[in-house]
Amino acid sequence: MQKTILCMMAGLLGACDGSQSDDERIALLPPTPAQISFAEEAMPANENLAEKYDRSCRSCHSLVDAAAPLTGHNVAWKIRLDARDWDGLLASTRNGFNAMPINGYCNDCSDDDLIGLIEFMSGETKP
Amino acid sequence: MKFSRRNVLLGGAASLVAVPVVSQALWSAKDFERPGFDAKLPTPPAGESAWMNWSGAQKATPQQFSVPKNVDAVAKLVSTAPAPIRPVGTGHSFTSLVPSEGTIVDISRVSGLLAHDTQAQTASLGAGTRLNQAARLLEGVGLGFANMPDIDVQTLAGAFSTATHGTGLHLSAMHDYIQGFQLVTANGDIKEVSATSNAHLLQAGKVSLGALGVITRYDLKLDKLFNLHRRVWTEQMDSVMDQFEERINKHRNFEVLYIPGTGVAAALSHDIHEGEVTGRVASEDEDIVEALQQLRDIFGWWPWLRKQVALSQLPLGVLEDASDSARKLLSTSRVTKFNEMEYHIPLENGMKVLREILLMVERKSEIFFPVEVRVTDQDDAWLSPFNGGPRMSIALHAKANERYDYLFKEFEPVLRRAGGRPHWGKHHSLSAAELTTLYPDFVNFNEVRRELDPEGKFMSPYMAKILGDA
Repeated sequence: MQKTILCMMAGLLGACDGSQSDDERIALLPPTPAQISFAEEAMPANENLAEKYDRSCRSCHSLVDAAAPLTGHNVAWKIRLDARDWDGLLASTRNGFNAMPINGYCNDCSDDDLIGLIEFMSGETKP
Repeated sequence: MKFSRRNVLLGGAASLVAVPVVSQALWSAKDFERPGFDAKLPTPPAGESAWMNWSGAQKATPQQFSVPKNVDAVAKLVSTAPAPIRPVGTGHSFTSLVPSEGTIVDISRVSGLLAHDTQAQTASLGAGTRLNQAARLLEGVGLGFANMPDIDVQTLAGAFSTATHGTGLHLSAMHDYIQGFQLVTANGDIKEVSATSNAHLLQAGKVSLGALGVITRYDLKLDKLFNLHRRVWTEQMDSVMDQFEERINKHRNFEVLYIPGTGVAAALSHDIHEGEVTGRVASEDEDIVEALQQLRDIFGWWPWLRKQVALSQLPLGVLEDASDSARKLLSTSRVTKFNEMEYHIPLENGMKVLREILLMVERKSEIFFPVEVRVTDQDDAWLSPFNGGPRMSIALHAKANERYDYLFKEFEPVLRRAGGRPHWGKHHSLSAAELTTLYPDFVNFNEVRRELDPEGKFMSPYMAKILGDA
């Protein structure tokens, strides 16, 4: 009851309709200390992807405070992939999404590069 | 209790039911969104490219967007690409330094640690290296930047060329670390610049706005790797201002973030730390920004209530006490996109104008982002805002999708009257006529620019506005 009143008063009906957004689901599954440590050091094995990851993706996807899904935090990526699919994540990268800048700071990345980088960071493989 | 959006709501609920409905309704109907705001990339004509900056305030559809792989490719590009040619870093400038309908050149492939001498505390890096990558690479060879700015995703070229700075009374802005650089000029020549080679270009090129050519390498003077002790605490802003001078002298780095509508500030200090480190703690900055917006949205119509709710939820006292390597503590991640105006005020005028600005902020209920106050030591680069003496930097922010026209109309005149110089990469309205009066070497810079680029290949309409001609 209290929540309903608050939501009505604050005009926050959209945030209080009982459903759980993807962001809220992700927030309930924070990375473990081991995953945070992994993200700080992990690098793709592929030399081309490693060079691009190191100068572009790593600044945000290796740092919890950046609020981007961490490299190796599989569940955070899986929720996004389930919601938007590979093409959706590729489009988000190309066009920018929330805090992410256009092209994820990698203006020379091909679509294949970006998919390869998402595969590395998510631990998932594009079908 | 954590300061969060939900607690803001709970704290204000009881008061909300007892207040005049009309005032609240009027405030709730207020539209903060900036007319014409569109977060999407522009649609380019066939065969052209689309670009926009981080905040979405600047957009362009250049004929050519190039990411050359090395200095020779940059030289070839500059010789042949359609003008105007504008270099881009990571797009964190809010001003129109980058937009071009000719060519935008991204040198992020020209990056990495090229050479170093740990004993001499020097290193050479590709100018497209991002600050966080540069700091990581330097850490690997026992070196580090003496200071870093609030965010660290900018390229070296973007940060240096716009006089990006951190905070610290005895710490100069990052471009002051430059001992030399490699410059690709308008005709495709590759010039080596240092105190002994093309020396007349050194002070012009440290802060060059991408107007002299494309810089592809920097030779830097650095510090030995060091750790810092970070403290963050909340305190009454009056108390912070009363002790400001003492604290900027006491602490290596000292910064203040005034929280609008509360009378309270978050103060941040960093000092050299010896021994084991605790590791950094997770930042709550984004939660706080979200809660402050919620406070503004719901209670902005009644400043008294907004303040009471904020004070009932804001944690007072020490919020963070941690130690770690400097690179991990000095810069933060800014997730909520914003637009920003920052002016650098002569230190002797700083406190007086800060008090005036804060009074204005308290009357401007739509402002919810903290007001950022920092200090930077002087340097001698011709277009450095810190040329001639240390300065206090005062920064005002607006969420990326919201209006910020009032910054120009109401705040900028006050900051200018105090002798302020604008941050080159943050919103300001000045043109060459005003900027000439602010910089003793403005004319000298333009002479060097015309010598290197007689046809104005690097001059977009905005560059012509701020530098004076094409």
